[in-house]
Amino acid sequence: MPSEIITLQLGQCGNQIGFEFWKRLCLEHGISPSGVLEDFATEGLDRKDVFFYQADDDHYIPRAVLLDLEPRVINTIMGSAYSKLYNAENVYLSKHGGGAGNNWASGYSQGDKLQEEVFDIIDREADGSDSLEGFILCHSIAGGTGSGMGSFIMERLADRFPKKLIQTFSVFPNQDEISDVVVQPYNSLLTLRRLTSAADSVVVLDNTALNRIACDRLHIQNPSFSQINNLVSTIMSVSTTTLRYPSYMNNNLIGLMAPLIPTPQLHFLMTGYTPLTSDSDVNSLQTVNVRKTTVLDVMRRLLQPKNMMVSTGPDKTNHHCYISILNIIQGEVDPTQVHKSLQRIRDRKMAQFIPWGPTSIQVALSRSSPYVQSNHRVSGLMLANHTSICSLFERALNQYDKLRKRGAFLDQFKREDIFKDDLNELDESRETVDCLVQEYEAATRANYLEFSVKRASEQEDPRTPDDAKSVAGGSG
Amino acid sequence: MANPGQANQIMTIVKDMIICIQGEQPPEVHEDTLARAACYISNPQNSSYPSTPLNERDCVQKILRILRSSDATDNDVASHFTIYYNKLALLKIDPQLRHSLIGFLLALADKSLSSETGPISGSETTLSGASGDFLSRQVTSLHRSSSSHHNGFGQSSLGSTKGMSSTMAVPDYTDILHAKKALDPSQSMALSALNSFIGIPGKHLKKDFITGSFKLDPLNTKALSKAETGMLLRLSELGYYYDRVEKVADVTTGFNPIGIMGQALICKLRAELGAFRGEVSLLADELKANSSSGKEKKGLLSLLSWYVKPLHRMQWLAKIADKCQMMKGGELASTLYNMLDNGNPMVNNLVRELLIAICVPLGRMISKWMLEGGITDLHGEFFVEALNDVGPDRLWHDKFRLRKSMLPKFMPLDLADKILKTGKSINFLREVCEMNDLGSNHDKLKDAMDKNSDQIFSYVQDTAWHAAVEMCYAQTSKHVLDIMVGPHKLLDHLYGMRRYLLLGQGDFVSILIQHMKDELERKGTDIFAHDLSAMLDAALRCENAQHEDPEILNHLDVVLQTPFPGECGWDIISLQYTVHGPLATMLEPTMPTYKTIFRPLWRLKHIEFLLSIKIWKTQMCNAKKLRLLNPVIGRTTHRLHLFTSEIMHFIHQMQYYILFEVIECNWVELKKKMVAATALDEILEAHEQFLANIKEGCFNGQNTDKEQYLDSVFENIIALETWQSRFFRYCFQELSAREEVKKMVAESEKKGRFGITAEQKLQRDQDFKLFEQRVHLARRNLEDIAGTYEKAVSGFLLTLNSHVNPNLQLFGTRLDFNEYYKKRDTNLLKPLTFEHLRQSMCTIRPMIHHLAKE
Repeated sequence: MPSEIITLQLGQCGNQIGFEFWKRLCLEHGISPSGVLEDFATEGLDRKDVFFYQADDDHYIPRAVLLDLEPRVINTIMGSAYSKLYNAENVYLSKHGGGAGNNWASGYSQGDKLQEEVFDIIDREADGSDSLEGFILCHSIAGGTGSGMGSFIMERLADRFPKKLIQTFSVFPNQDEISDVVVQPYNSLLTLRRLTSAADSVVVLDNTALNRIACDRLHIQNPSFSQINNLVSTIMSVSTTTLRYPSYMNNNLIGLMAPLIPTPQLHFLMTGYTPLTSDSDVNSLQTVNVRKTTVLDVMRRLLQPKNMMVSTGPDKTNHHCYISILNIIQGEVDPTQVHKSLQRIRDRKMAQFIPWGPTSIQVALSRSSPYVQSNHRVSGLMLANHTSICSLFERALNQYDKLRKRGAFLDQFKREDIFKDDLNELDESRETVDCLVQEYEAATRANYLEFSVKRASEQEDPRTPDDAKSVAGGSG
Repeated sequence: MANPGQANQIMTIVKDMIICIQGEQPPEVHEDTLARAACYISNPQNSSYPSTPLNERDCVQKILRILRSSDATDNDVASHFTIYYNKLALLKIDPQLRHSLIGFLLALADKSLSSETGPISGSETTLSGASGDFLSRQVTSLHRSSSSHHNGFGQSSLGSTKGMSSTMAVPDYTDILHAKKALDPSQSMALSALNSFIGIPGKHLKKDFITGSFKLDPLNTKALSKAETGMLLRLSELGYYYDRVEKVADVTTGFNPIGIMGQALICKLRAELGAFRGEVSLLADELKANSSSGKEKKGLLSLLSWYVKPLHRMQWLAKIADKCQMMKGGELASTLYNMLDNGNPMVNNLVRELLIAICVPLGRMISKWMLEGGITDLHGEFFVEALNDVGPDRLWHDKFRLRKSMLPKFMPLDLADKILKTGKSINFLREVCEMNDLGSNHDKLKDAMDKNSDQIFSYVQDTAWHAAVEMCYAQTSKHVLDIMVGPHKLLDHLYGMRRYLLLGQGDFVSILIQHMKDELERKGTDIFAHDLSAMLDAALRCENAQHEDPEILNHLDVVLQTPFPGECGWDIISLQYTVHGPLATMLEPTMPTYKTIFRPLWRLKHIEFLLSIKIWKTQMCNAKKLRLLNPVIGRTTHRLHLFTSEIMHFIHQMQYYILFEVIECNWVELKKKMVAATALDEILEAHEQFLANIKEGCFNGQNTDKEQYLDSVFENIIALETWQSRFFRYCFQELSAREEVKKMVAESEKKGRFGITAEQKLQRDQDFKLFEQRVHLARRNLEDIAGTYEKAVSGFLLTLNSHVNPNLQLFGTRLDFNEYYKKRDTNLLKPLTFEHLRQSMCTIRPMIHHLAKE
């Protein structure tokens, strides 16, 4: 089967959002919790084979690998109605079941120890597909398993499958509440380094923004995990909808990512979704929303920061801009409306774009599942590459710096192999993330073409960086 | 009293006797004589006082003698007469009467002896001698009727000699004879005029052979007054028109209308002429009757008053006939229809009658065509034409067509078109779909159409006939539509073509390209079709198409063109959708269009494939591996990445524009029309329009600036791909060389010797220098490619912005959504509103050429 994608779910958060994602896919494709095609799902217009494979007995089985170091979430999944959906061989629980203790280093080391068993599963799954296109990784960057083990697996994946794409759905911690995980800044920074260097595309799911949206837009006082996860699963399913309901363009992962990501580093994507309703206020808002939504409305609202699933903080200098935008529009859309809407957005200059290259809003009209009734005539998801995402990394850097200055909580890290000798790993990670922030800042300027990374140190180079740069500079 | 049988017997015998005496003469002469005989004997003076002093016997002898003397050669006549006389004698009739009869016969014999001239009623014999074919018959019949009239008189008088009052108002035939012999001038003039009415020259009027009109005969009209000749000439005008109509109504003249509709017209004209002649002959009778009875005489003046109305009618008839000369079919109908609009109700009615007459065959042709699909059109007069040498494969589009010249004016083009399509559909159903049923209410419709054919030319098209035609059209169209859409799945096939040939099914195309990756890059001569069809099947299998109707998929095929030297798989491989049977008849003409549209779409896919799989993906993957080399290649790869994203943007927008705004938007239109269609042709027309729009939209064909710039863009992308693979080759060489050195260092460490030799270090440094130089050079090359690429793009944008088509202008703004190019290229800054458009067109032109040269 073509362009298959294997989903890896890591840690508590990764497995939770993964679980929601699969629930959603099953619903959209008309697959029952036990993996059997429902009787009503006769319309063969969807591509189930990207995310599922068909077992001999006509069961649809997700191409999913569930990994965790502690049994709680996976046990919940395996105790649910969907337990029979997954291939039991693809569920991996660490034997000692102690988890990673919210420690990146612990997760990373355990990943190293368990890698043979884990990659047996991944290799088997990869062998089972005709032309594997890539991996989707679900995890959080703040915990232990998802961040630490996830980082390790990402690095290995990039080595073992150099020609496959790695996309991640990475949950960023909520900045508005005080986390009970004190080493969260370390974890985040260390994971960010891997996300920068090993992943090809990262869809940032910012818990801060998700909570804010749940409160402000959906009017939920204290949003629960499941309500947040509902939002996440919506984003995940819609962002893969052009793969599952193919039309003329953006039908594979590369077609989705390539136009969004101009350079290998700038691959952190924001999402936005509209219209948003939660189950509770469907009844009250339905009529209003149904009447309101048009293509222009949807596209205009997607450009509003309040609908963004990433909280980037106020942009005081107002210099941040869109590097690229892809809008996936679903619902009853008159195709001729689309370019009128684009024209309006351009005329009103509703969005600010990069000055150093041509870019625009791409639109993919996608069919949606016939089995899921939408409350809205038109709905849209935006995948955007926006330079303001670097504020997220800056924040992570700041928090890291605060902690690092005091040298706080480093003991538990030093216990693990990777930090046994020194804390270089942390410094290097900081440098990588700093470079990333630099590059995003540079991408807001017209002279981005002349940009070159200014690192504090260049590693493993036989010549000095200055020499190398003078050569490169001379050629320009 | 003699019974009628006996009277008849007497009549026959007396007639035979007269023949004996007079010799063989035209029958009417005998009849006339007979009539006179009857009159003579019935005349009381004659019967009471025999006109001859001789007794009956002597009379017979004398007659015999005369007969013998006049006819010396044989005595048959005389002996015949004797036989008849004996027969007569055998009959029991009044001897007195017989005597007087014989007396009459003697007188007759005497007369015929003295003057051998046959003519007694001069005018009539002349008439019979001079008249032609049809006319003569007509006149003869007229004469017969009048002579039988006389005969009746004769009979009755013959039978009623006894006891009947002799003063009965029986016309004195001798007097008539006398009167006829010396016709009074006014009478003869009236006769001449009457004759001229029906085109016969008479005593006073002769035909001018050149103009065909009547002129005065100078011999006989000297004595006439000016007024009289004038009146004669005026009256003769009617004859002139009569002749003209006659000429057209006569199939031997060559001026007659042609075809079955022409025949209908001729028939109607002849009936018209016949009726007119009837009137004239009645008039002639009246004239005769009046003159013989000595009542007030009908003169030219009274004729003048009579002739006005017939003249008017005849004039119009002649006018119509003249216009219809040598015409046929629809032309004829149009000519007549043109004359229908006349304020004169008489003319209006006349033309209407004629039109109705010729519409009968027309209606029959239409009903036969619409209900059975048949054309029986020997004269080429029907407005639907079948081209016999066109085969059934082109039946729908080429076999039948409207013969515009034969389209009656009262038949609107859309109605004619409907009629054409109905018959065509029936032929299509029969010949291509092999369905022979004629529809449920075939007979009813046929009846309605044939019976109401006089409504064809109605002003308002809501008659029963029109309703039947519309009904028939709607029914047949629906039938064909149902069959094509139903069992033959027309819409599914159109959808299939849209998805596979026009690349609407994006995942299928990318899978196909994945499968054929190697073949596509191979040299054209090394590719074999059978490999490809296996790959197509494989692609179809894993594509969602497995859920698709197999019938659609079976039509999809990969074809190879004959490769030109240097062409690779991308250039020669194309997809094709083969249709069979009825669908082929429908869709065959559009296939070449699909072929031409497929090319640019395929090229776009090629470029997309190059760009995403080859260029972008390699960049992403290599970026991780080559991180070590970043200090050297960093700036180059950075430039490469940004250049790639620039191209990516262009190609994606281009694809989006073509696949979405051009194809999808037009497809939506087409779908709407397909759903609303009531007839197959509506779908086919919409489909053709759809293809035409797409052809225009995907920068195909015309070798204009736009296309040249686009070619340049694509060439640069291909150049980039070549450049990139060479560049990365160098990078990996360098990378492996470094690793080699590192390995050597590590090994030497193990052996206890530290580091590498100076020689090795020198070699390494040299290699590195070489690599640096290569990178340097590569960067320059990359700048060159990027430079030409940018020139091509801004040239392309310029042509788009100055294009008249607003869609292309919008596409131009889309390509430069964030005004990046506009800021770089001052030419693009000029506001290209309508006021500036013309101006900028003037300035842009030379610039384009300048750019192109560069």
